[in-house]
Amino acid sequence: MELSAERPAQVDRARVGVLVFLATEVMFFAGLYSAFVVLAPRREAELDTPLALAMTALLLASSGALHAALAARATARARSLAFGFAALLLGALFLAAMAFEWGALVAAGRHPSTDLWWACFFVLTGVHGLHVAAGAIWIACGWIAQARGGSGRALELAAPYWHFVDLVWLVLLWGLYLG
Amino acid sequence: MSAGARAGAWRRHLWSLDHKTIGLQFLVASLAMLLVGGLLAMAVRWQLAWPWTDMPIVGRALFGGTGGVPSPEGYAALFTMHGTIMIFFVVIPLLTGAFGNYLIPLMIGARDMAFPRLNAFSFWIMAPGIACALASFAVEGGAASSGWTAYPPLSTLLGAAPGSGAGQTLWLWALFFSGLSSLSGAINYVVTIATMRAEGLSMLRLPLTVWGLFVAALLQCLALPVLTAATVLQYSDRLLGTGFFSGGGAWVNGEWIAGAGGTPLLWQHLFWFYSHPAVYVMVVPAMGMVGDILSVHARKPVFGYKPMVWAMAAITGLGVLVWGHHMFVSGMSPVAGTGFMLSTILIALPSAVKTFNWIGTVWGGRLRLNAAMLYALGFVSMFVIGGLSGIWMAATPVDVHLHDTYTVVAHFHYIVFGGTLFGVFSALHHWFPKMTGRHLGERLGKLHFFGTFVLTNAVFLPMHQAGFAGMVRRIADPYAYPSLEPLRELNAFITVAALLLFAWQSLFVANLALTLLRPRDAEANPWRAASLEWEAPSPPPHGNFDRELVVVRGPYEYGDAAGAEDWLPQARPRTSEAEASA
Amino acid sequence: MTRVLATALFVALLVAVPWWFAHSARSGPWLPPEASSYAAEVDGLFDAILVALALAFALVMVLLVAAIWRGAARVERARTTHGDLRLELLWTLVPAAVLAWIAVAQGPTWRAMKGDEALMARDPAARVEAAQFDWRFRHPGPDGRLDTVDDLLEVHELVVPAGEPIVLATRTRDVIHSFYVPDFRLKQDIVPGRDGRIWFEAPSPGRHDLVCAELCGFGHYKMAGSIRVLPRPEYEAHLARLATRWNANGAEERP
Ligand code: HEA
Ligand code: HEA
Ligand code: CUA
Ligand SMILES: [Cu+2]
Repeated sequence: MELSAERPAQVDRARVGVLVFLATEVMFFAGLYSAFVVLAPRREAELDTPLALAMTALLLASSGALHAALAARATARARSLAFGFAALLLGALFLAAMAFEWGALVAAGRHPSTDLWWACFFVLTGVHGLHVAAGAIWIACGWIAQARGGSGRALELAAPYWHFVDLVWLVLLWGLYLG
Repeated sequence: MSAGARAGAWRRHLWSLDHKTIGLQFLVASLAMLLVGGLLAMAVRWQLAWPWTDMPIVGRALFGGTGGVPSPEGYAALFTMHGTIMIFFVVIPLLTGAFGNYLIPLMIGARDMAFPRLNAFSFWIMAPGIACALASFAVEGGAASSGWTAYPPLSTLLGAAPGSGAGQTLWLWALFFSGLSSLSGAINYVVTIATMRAEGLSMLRLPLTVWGLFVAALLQCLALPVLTAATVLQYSDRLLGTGFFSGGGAWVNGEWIAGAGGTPLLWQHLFWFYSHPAVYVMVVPAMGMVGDILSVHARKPVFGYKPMVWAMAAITGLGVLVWGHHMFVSGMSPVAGTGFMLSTILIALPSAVKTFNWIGTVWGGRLRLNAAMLYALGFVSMFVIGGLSGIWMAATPVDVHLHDTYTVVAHFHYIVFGGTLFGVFSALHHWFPKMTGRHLGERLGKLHFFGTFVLTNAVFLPMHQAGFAGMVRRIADPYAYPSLEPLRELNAFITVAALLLFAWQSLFVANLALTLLRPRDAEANPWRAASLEWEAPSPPPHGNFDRELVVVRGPYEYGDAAGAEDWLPQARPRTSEAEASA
Repeated sequence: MTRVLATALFVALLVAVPWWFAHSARSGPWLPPEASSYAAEVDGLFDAILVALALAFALVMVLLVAAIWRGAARVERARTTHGDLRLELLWTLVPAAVLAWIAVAQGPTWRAMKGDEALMARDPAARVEAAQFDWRFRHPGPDGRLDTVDDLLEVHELVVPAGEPIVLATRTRDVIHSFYVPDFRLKQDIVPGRDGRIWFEAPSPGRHDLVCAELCGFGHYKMAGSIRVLPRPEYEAHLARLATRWNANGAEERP
């Protein structure tokens, strides 16, 4: 933002809003993650890394699909809708995989209260999961609107958020699973 | 009009998306909470002067069971909720919610906020927060009682303090909702100011009020999410037994409660990472408003506009680097202590710059000593006292003695009450004509100022010495320490002054009431002020302006060089449509 | 009218604040007696800063009062001015200098209060065990080591020898407490999960309040203790008396 600029050029306000919102989200996850960094709990290697990588693939693919959906928005509506649906589906699959992982862990007697490492694991992945779920709902609404003949504006706004959620996940993957 | 129509009008007001209506809603809500917070303060004062005696009104309401005599944990709940309510449901919503909403679009020549729905959300999401805060007094164990800082493990060990049960849970929810409210508001302000300024209104032509609100919004966007993260962690400590903030564990009522081994200091770092910036959120918008008001009523441009802007920017930047000065004796490493000492000392500089520029602004001015101006001048003197005592505490060795004593209490009350609330009273007198089309009564206003000014000092000045003498905070009965016995009269004096101060506020309430009963008497620009909000009718209609504006100069063209009438409006109506494209 | 009243009000503030500080400095309430080796240093810093603050306050208020008195009577228009770079520099650099001085001046005191490695590495004279809501003290017994069966326990009052540096180990049994001895200008939080070290030296015998300065629950206000400073011989006599009076098998019990 140029300080001495005259009246700002026409900008996409909603988009700017989403970006500012993402900035606050960065700080939010930074706050949570700082607990993990500061407490630096010891990790016992009992995580299903292959599954985690698969989940990563799902999430990234979902982002890609959303991107394709937006790219095709103007030219090929049907394709756009298909990709949008794919994005939604992949997101849902990620959540399913996560639910499965949690189930297995709890069954194996891992709880948030087990020790600090598991506390960090469940809180970080849990909060991230909530963000994925929220994003999925956002995309679902956007998709329905588009299917009803809308421009897919909501999807366009959801995109940066959806990519951001990937980014957070990559940090978690690196910190919790591979780190 | 028919009852039905009136009801309809009310509903339209209640659910309005208009930034002005939402601003007024914030104003009313936070003034009501100010009353609650004030009553709690009176209860606190009563106990400190006459411990364990029958406390009228508040005592009767909260401690009816014991005939109005508070329990020690009851007292802890009193100051905890006093601080929490005053900061999160009074001062922050007053400045950013009420004035931010009302003034930003008007002062940048916009028709509304960037996201009116989000705006309404930011008000209504505060309601459950207030509900949680108030309800917590009724729950089992009473309201949260581990201070507004909610340090674990006191706040997370259910057995450690009665208020750490349901009360603390509600406290966390209250903070969560107020956080959502502040954040959605802040995002809205940032985008609005960055993208919706009228033609010709560059950032460096913005009134300081808008700069203050902009800076505060940025601070909130940066820092508040960290507090939200901290509350999430504390909540999971309490709910899931994660123990991020539990030390090794604790003996509570004879039984050993193991902890996962996290550290309580983590909470303190996360909490202050937001709550120090929060104190600047609580003053910078007031600084901005006072700067404008001084200029208008001194009929003289703001002195050193750019330094003022840079000072605010510096306060934002440094504001997120000083949180450790609340933790000098917490066991943080001495080296870190030195670092935070340096950043804290450094942040005093921009405040110094602002102070002297305020003086530069009124110096040689043609002053109108109306209520608004008096309160603005009062703000400067009170802020200076509060700010200067901060320097003592920034000096680590001195702070070791002063930490958690009444000197700290004196320090921040001078700024939040003598400073921020004086700024709010000033702003109300200044913008009330715009908000309602009516002038607040001048005579009552001045009377309210003189009394409040004297009593504020009577209440908070002696607290410094109580702190020097080693009177610590948050104690239900100072005289449990024989060495504090000599402070009895002093504390009684403070309390009497505080009760008078509270009573004196009735003049303000009366002034509001009487004014609202009077017919409208304010024209569009009663103060002959230059900034954009005065181009709109008083009160402004939906959509604010009845004509397109083009900003042609800065907001402070006053004095002999400024036109025939000692001032030049910041904007002129757009003459031809051709300009629109240009 | 308003002009006179307002000016009077701000003059009153300009006078009242220094008067009240001077008055209480003379006849209290003021800083408690200086009973530790570094107390005087801390107070020196306190006083020096007080002078700087007083000057800053007086300067600001005098200018403010003058501006009000003259401005309220002014009839001709104000001169239109948007600032003055030289002034800006002046009132940035002068405060900066004062602040820089404060930043530097406190360094040695801060280091002294925190103690150097060698000092803090000494065996503690006792361990402070804070608990809701009392102070417990554990002296090493005849074997000279802490946490052995012959430790000597006391509650509420800590006895130390005069005229020598005392290192204390700190520990809390539950929540955060803060070890505050106003007469020593010593305050240190005691945080769960972290064993801490503090030090002081009390030049002369005497008794001093020990205060809990961190909110720790409903009993916080009455978590009082005391420190009794004795000459070396009496101190040793006291420990001997303790040792004979009881052995520490009932470790956690009060005497
Ligand atoms: C709006 C609120 C507000 C503001 C603006 C400030 C401003 C400052 N605060 Fe304050 N502070 C609080 C609210 C605020 N504070 C609260 C609520 C607490 C307690 C929290 C709790 O524990 O409950 C607190 C606690 C607090 C502490 C911790 C004390 C302790 O618990 O041990 C410290 C320590 O450094 C501190 C320092 C400062 C400093 C240096 C400034 C500076 O920004 C002040 C700068 C201003 C000036 C210096 C005056 C003007 C300048 C001049 C006139 C120029 C000449 C001056 C010199 C050359 C020195 N504050
Ligand atoms: C941020 C704002 C703020 C404000 C304005 C105040 C105002 C006051 N506070 Fe404040 N106080 C805090 C924030 C604030 N406080 C905080 C953060 C703490 C720390 C809590 C903790 O330790 O955890 C604290 C702690 C605190 C203590 C220390 C308690 C302790 O440590 O044991 C004391 C003791 O005297 C005290 C007293 C007062 C008094 C007498 C006022 C007076 O100024 C109040 C005067 C009365 C009013 C201002 C109300 C008048 C009403 C109106 C004007 C309403 C009009 C209504 C309508 C029109 C509907 N406060
Ligand atoms: Cu222990 Cu307060
Ligand atoms: Cu601070």
